[in-house]
Order: sequence, then C-alpha cells, then structure tokens
Amino acid sequence: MRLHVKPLILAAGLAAFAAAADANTLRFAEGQDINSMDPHAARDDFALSLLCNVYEGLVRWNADLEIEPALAESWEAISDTEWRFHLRKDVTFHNGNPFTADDVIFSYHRAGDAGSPFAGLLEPIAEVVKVDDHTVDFKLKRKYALVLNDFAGWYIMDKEFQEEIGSTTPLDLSSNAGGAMQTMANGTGPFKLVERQPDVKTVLAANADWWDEKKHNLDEIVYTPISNNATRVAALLSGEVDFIRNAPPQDIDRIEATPGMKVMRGPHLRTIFFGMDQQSDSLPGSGVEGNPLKDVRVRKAIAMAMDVEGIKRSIMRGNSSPVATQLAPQMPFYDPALEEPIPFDPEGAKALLAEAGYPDGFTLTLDCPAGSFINDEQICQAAVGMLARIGITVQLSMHPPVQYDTELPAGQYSFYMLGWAGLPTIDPYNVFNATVHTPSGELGAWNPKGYSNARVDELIIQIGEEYDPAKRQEMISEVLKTQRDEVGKIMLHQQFLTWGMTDKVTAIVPGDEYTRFWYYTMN
Amino acid sequence: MIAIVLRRLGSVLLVMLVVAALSFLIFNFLGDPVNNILGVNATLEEREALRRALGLDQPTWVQFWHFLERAVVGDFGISYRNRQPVMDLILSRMPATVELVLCATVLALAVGVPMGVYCALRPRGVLSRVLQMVSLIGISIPQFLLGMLLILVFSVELRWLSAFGRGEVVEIGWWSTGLLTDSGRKALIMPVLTLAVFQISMIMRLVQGEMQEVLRADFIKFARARGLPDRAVNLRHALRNSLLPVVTVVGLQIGALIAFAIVCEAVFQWPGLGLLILQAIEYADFPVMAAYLALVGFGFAMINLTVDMIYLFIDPRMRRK
Amino acid sequence: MTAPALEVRDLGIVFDTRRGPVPAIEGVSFAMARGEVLGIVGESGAGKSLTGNALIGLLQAPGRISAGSIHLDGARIDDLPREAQRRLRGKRIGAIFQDPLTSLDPLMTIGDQLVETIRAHLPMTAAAAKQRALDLLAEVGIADPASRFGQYPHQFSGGMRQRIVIALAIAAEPEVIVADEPTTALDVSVQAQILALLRRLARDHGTAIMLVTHDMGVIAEIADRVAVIYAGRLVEIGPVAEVLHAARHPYTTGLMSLIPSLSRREERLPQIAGAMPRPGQWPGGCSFHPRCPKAGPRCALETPRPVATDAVRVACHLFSGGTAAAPAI
Repeated sequence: MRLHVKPLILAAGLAAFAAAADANTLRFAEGQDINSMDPHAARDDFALSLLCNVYEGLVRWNADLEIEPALAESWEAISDTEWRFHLRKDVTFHNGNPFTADDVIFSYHRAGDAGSPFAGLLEPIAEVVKVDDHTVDFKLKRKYALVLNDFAGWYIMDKEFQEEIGSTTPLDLSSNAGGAMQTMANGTGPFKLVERQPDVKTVLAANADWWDEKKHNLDEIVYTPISNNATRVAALLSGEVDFIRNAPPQDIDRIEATPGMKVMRGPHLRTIFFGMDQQSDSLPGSGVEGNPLKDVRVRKAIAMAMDVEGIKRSIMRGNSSPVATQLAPQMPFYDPALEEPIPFDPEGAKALLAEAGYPDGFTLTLDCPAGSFINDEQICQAAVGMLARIGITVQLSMHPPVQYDTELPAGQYSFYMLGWAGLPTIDPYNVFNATVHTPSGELGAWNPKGYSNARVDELIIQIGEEYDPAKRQEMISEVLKTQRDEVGKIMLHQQFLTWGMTDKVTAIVPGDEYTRFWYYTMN
Repeated sequence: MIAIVLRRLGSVLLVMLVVAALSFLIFNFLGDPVNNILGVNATLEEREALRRALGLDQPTWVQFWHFLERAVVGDFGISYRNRQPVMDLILSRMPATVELVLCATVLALAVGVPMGVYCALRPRGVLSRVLQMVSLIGISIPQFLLGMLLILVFSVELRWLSAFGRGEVVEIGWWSTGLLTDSGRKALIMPVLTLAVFQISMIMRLVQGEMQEVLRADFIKFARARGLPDRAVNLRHALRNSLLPVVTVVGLQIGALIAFAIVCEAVFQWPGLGLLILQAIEYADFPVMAAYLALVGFGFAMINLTVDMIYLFIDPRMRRK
Repeated sequence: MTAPALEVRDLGIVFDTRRGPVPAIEGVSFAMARGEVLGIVGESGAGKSLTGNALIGLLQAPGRISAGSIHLDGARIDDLPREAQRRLRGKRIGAIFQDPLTSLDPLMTIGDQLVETIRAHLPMTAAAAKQRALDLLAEVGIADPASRFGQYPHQFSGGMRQRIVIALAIAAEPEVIVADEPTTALDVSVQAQILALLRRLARDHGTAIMLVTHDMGVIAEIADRVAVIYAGRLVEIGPVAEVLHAARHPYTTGLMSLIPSLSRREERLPQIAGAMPRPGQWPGGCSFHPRCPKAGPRCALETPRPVATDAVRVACHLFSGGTAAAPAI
C-alpha cells in the first residue's frame, strides 16, 4: 500500500509546484503590517497605500498622480456647492454584491460621521443624496476646491457586507467589532483578500471580475511585514521576497550590485524642513534676550548655514534633491520660478547673525524624530555641526516617533525637523493648512508657534475655495514666495524613493509611495 | 508546603499590581495613541473626542483604577492597534515565543550541561580551553549580530533557511506549533540558535563553576574513598549537587526570554510576544502594554514559584518547613 | 609469618611545582597488623593526611608518590592501574574523614548512599544490599535503622553522621581503615563514643585502623602503637605506652608535654619554640635540629636514620649509635 501512496503524493506535489511556478506571485515585504483591513480605521497613508489595491474611491490617482474616474464614471458640478456623481453600473464587490448608491452613502456615514477618523476629510460635505441607484449628489457646506482630491483617499465599502459582520463604525474600541476588519475585506479593487494573519502574512489574489481593463499580470500578492531593515534586505537578496519598498539607504548599493536585483527610484512628494518658534517672546535656554528666531535675518542665517548639497552627498548618498519651497516639483501648482534655494554661505550667515545682534550666536535645542524620515537622525546631527560653524550652539534631542508626533503639535518644541507631503489630498492646500497657516482651531495644527502671516492665512483659505486653476496658481505662488522670502521654514530637501526588487518585477514609483499593483508586471 | 504556595501567590498579586501601576506611570511619557489611531491629518476636535472616548483625558490614577476593575475579571481591553481583545492577542502570540524559548532552552541544557561537566572534570584539557574561549564569545556576542550573521550565511549565501517568519504552523486548539511541519522546524533553526548560543555559554560556565566547586567538597572525596566509579561520583553526586543554581538561573532565563526575546524576534520577524510588545510600544498601544507587563510580572512570579518547587524536589534540606 | 595487613616501605611524596619536585614525605616506613590501631600524630602540615591519602590512592595533583611502595596483605598496591586502585578503595581500604557534616552527599538518603557503596563492591541484589545496609547501621549504633534508612544527612546529628560515615567505610569489610581526624569536629562527649566504636571494629573484625590525629589524648585512648611525623619524616614509632611515657626523640618529648593529662602543666614547651618548616624549606640534616634543644653539629649535616631501640624505632642521632656531637664519618 505504501508504495502506491508515495507516487500520488509526489504527483500532487509536482502539480502544485508547477502551478506555483506558472502563477505570477509578487512576494512583497514591508517594515510594518497594516493595522487593519478597514480603510476607514485611520487616516493612515501607510495602510491606504496598500488598501488602494483592495478598495476603491469614486475617483483615483493614476500612475502620473492625476485624478481619473474610478467607481464614478463621470461627475459634474450642478452648482458651486453641489456635485453629481454618476456611478459605474457594472461593478461588483469581491463577494459578488453589486455596487450601488447605497454603498456610497453608507461609506460616507461610516467614514465621515462625528468621531470617525475621516470626519475631518469629509467635513466640507453637508449632505449626500441618492438620486437613483447609480447617481449620487454631494451637497457642500461651502465652496471647496478639493472634493475630487479628497475622494481619491476615501474608499467605498459594501453596506450589506459591513452590516452583516457588524462593522458599521470604524472606531469602536469598546467592543470586538473592529477586530472583524482585521482579517476581512470586501472591496471592489483589482485585488481581493484571500488570507490574512495579522503581523504575519496577507495574501491578495487578482480580482477576475474587476471592472477596469487589466494591465497587470499578477495572480497573487503575498505581503509580509519584516520590521528589521537588515532582515528585510536579506530576504530580498536571498530571493524569498521579490519587492521591498523603501530600501534602507545603506543597502542600496548592495542590492544594485546583486545580480538579478535592481533599485527603482522616484522623487517623493515629501519635503523635509526645520520649523521654528516665531511667536514666543523669549527662547528659554538660548542664553540671549528675546527670541532670536523672530528675526528674519537670524532665520536666513540658519538657512545659509545648511549645507544641503553636503547632506545629499554624504548622508543621502545622492538620493535627495534640495528644495527652495515646501512644494516638491512633482506637486500640482509647483512654481519653477521659485526653485532657487537660499545658497550655502556660512561666512555670509555669520555676518547676518552679527548684523541681527548675535555676533556670538546663541543656544538652540533641536528636536528630531528617530525613524520618521530617511536618515533623520544623521541629518540632525549634521545640522548641529553646521550651525556650530556660525556660532549657534545646538543641543540635539531625539524622540521616538510616537512621542514626537504628540509633542510637536502640542507646541513643546522650538526648533524641530518635520516633513510633509500633503497626502492624501496631493494639493498645496493640504500642505499649507497643516504647516503654514497660523495655528487656529483645525488650521496650522503642525505649525505650532510657527510662521504666521495674515495675508498668507487669508490666501490659504481662498486657495481651498477657488475652482479656477489659474487663480489658484497665482495665490499658491504668492504664499510660497512670501514664506520663502520671510524664511518661514528652513528648507532642506525632497527625499527620493528607493524601491528594491528583482529584475522580474516592473513597478511604478509614484511620489505618494502608494503601491498601485494594478500597474505592476512580472516576467 | 501549601502555605509556601499561598504566600507566593499573594506576592504574585502584589508584583502584578506594582508592575501595572508602574506601567501606567510610564505611559505618560510614551506619547499619545490618538495620533496613531486617527492619523496626522485629524483635527483637534477629533483628537479630543477620541481621547474622551478612551478615557485618556482622565487622571492617570483614574485610568489605572478602571484598568484594575476590568483586569480582575480578565478583561484587559481592546488593543488600539489591532482592535482585538488584548488577551486574545497575547494568547495568539504566546505559542510562537514559548516554542522558540523552550526549544532554545532544551538545546542549551542538552549542550551546555555536558560541556560544563566536561570542562569541570578536565579544566586543563585543550578542548576545555577551547570551549571556554568559545563560550566567552557566545556570552558577549550581541544577539542582533549573531542573528544577522546566521541570516547572511544560511539565507543570503547558502539559501538553505528562510530569513524570516515561522514557516507553516499547525493549529492545535488555541495553540499553534511549527514543530509539526518541515518548514516550521526549519524556521526554528536560526532563531533557536540565536537565542541558545548565549544560554549554552552561560549554562556551560555556570555548570563548570559550580561543579568545580562541588568537586572540591568533602563528600566527593569521600565518595571516591568509598570506591564508587568515576561516573557515579561525577554525575550522581557532583553534577546533581551543582544543579541547584543552574535550575534557578535557567528558570529565570526562560522567563526573561519569553518576556524579552525582542531582539531575536525582531531580527527573524518571529511573530511572538517580543514583536507584539515592540509594535505596541511604537504605537503607544497602552492596553497591550499594560496587560503585557502585568502578565510578565505574573509569569516571573510563577517561574519563581516553579523554581522553588523544583528546589523542594531536588534538595531535601529545603523541605524542613 | 603472615604479611602485615598494611606495610609502607620508604614512602616518598613530592609536590610537582614549576621549580621542580618539592619533597613532602620522605623515607616513611611502617607496618600495621590485623586488628591494630596505629595512631599517626604530628603538627598540621607534617604530612599525616598526605600519607593517609597516599594509602587510599587519593593523592591529589600536584602531589604524587615519588619513592617507596605500599603493600596490602603483602601485595603491592601503589603501582596498580587507576581502576584497580578504585576497586580497592572502599572494598579493602576504607576511609573516614574529619568532618561528618560534609562527608555525606546532602541530596541523597543515607540508605541510598550505603546501598550504592555496598553494590559498588559486593555482588548483591538491591534487597540484599539494603538488608546489609540496615545491619551496618545497627552495627554502628544507629537506633531504628529501618526508619532512618530513608532519611537525609541533614536529619542526623554530627555524631550520628560520623557513625554513618563509619558504616559506609566498613560497608565492604575492608582490612584497613584510614581514619583522618575522625573525631576532631565532634563534641567531646561524642568523641569517646566514636573512638569506642572504632576500637570495637578493630577488635571484632580484625580491621587495621590508621588513625591520623593531632590529638595525643585520642592516641592515648585507643591506639596500640603511635607514629610521630615531623616535617615529612617519621621520627618515632612504637607502642603507645612507650612513646607516651618514655619518648626518645626530642620532638616527641616536646609533643607529649602538650597533653595536660600526661605531663606537668607548668612545663609549657620551652624546648619546642619556633615553627615546623614547610615542604621545600626543610633544613639540611635532621629537620628538627633548628628547634631541638639537644641538637649538635652533626644534626645539621646528616639526616638521622631510624634505629630500633627495643620496640621503638627512632630517627635521631642521639640514638644512632653515637652522639649528636660529631659526624659519624
């Protein structure tokens, strides 16, 4: 009997092996797991950058980061504050349920009701009205220019399914309901969830019934979180995974030098800068009277002391690009006329400091996150040395990201590193209202005690409401120029994305870091 | 004996209480989970609302009291990150760590004790000197470095073993084990070695030291004078008398490893408690951290109790009370 | 004439050091008859215990036998292979050590330790060995052996433990027992009981007992003969009465004055000032001459050989057929 069993098993094994060899499985490793399969659980770009393969919004970003139709096939403005969306009729969710206007309304309430993480994003919307099964009207509270941008980051869920599993609110921490969305997902996207072990493995399979024309040739995506950088790179080099996002800078050369491996690069939308306390009347511990950072000459001297090219060369290994304003060149409404950074000139900086009344410099504390941005720690250390050259003594204070993201908006830092990409809106408005507007209420949350200019504040509000692109461009350029001339931030650079993969994989590397697998191919 | 156990259990509760209280104090310095839950774009109102909903706006001692109230009935709350009951989460991660640690400990005992005995019996031998030197390296090599070295050799260069994960696991009730599958067993090799190298070295040196001490004892000389064979003298008398401190240290090591196999688990992406707590710290996932630390306190106390029981079993002198 | 139970001929022991071998015992010879109790006395470091360890084959490195031989019942044993020596230990030569509190394995019942010893030497079933163990316990005076059989050493008093040690030593009926300070660690009241037990063993079983002690009182109580060792050399050996009451060697004389009951208290050793030299620092000639009140020039030049005077052998120039005043040659 035994003799008969063995060949059978062998044959079965061979068949499985052959099938696996034929299928295009993209094995993908990332530094962390997504916290949930719930696209409304958090406004967390990391989670959405993966969930965009499972769920879709009414519109989506294409490979060039332009808005294109998704679950809505068209839309029109009925008035300045009323938008009509025509929904695609041939769309089904992964479980076979048809996609209708009810799902859109359900998803609006699930994501946007008070207490939900997307309430802020959907705040401009006053009401959603079902016209028919495939037509929905959105009524706005006021003129708002970024409805489409915001909708690209708000995903539609299946009403019937969510009610069935009892998950109709995303933020229920008092019961087990959120747990269901740990391992379940029912979207309309190009890939559907087939298996998920949180923190271990998530398997997606191509959605054969996807409404869009299929450009990718992936059959399966196996996503494994590997938190340790070195292990993740080793897993790529050993052929256990095909693709890692954000290869650590120190390993890029090694990956490129390995036969069969490559690194694909692309500019990131995020720019890195130092923010400064420009509001307080004194700067405790500075050793001088008053607050030197209120003086534009001092801020400019600090900017002139920064050898950003040197940072690019020796710390970023070429994978960065100095910037003059907070807008990366790949952002919409970027103004090439403003691309000249403040030149590196330590002697001039010294003179400027002396002119401002600080010939002997002063003392600053630089607060810096450990692990939020590429090489953040090394950049801050370099800054300490550069500022020492012009007489400013800097005490460096490093923080874990979770602490940093709490203390920074609370105004506990007076000189700090920050990076901002304007996600998921991908519009200058998001950058400005979070990091440029004078802090007030919901505005300027990441600009505590920072740059403040009444005219700029006024422009930012208008930028949010203006529909005419030419007028928006004018206002956006004015904000950028004003902030640059007044040195509202010390601009450093734009990071580059460096994604490591095997030669078999062809990916796109968009500036918002989203893995849009429906553009990927393997051979 | 029952009195000893009861007294111990009392101190276990006290330890857990103190640990939980301390962990609550620590939370205040860790940062705010609300940022992580809502994302950086959330508005101030949204943050405040969630903070109220989670009770984070209340004074620490009130939060602590609520935690205790729920904890006594076994409810440690819902994880902020995983949105799952904390107890379920911890129980689901425990098998990976326990399996890893027990395998490493068994290996460490199986290799470390004989090596220690050999070195104690032939302290001047060439092999003993080599072992002692190697064990010095084993004690001082950082786990992270050792793990990465293993990965570079066996995963990247030779491609024999997987650099990460547990391989295929089999579920037996709520327990999951990698011991029943090939890939599971292979996945254990490098993490177990990484953990065991230090333990082997430590146990070897401990056994050697203790046994050399015992070998000088009168009763060993007398055992030889009684004409007992070397084997009986060395193993039945000398080794057994050397094992008491070994039991203590190994017991505490098991506890420490289960609680803090963080480095090893991070290097090999081992889905156990170490990774869980690492993620919880990064996310400021207070319910997981509080429950975890309280359970660690409980675990250590239980291990101490077990060690004491083993003492009673091994050493008749302890049984007097 | 039958061979003595134990005979030591011209025994030499050295310590191997980096600067070469250092003598610790030199030219020691004596014999023991069956049933005889031979006391070995001397100061700490004189070499008494070393001699005892050599007899039971447990001399520890760096010490080793460098000269002479040891004979058990006429057969040489010091050159036997390790394993053969091991078989002799416990079976034909037993040993008792000073501290009964530390001589027993604390983690094993005394019964197990007895059975283990018996079965190491005698081809017995476990049951028979247990019976023998019970008999032995009874013999050494442990009351209610059956219930104490399963107890651990810490459950016994010091005197009881020494009885158990003795039971272990005689488990296989050895012909010779080396007892190294067997009563030193015990209360005075218990000492006498243990000594009586040893005495009885020697008488009833014909066991030759070599009793190493620094206590002349013990010697006086149970020894038949006594040997005095000074700085690694046997200086005097003879019947207890002779040696105690008519010591010939000046060192013995000094030693005797240490025993309050045997000497006049007021003579507190004016003649034995100074300290015994350690191995490696022995002076030339008679080792004792720097401290000897009767030393002459010859004593510093020539090592005296033991000479027999009546039943006593003594190694002193005063008795080597001449005087201490001039060299023989």
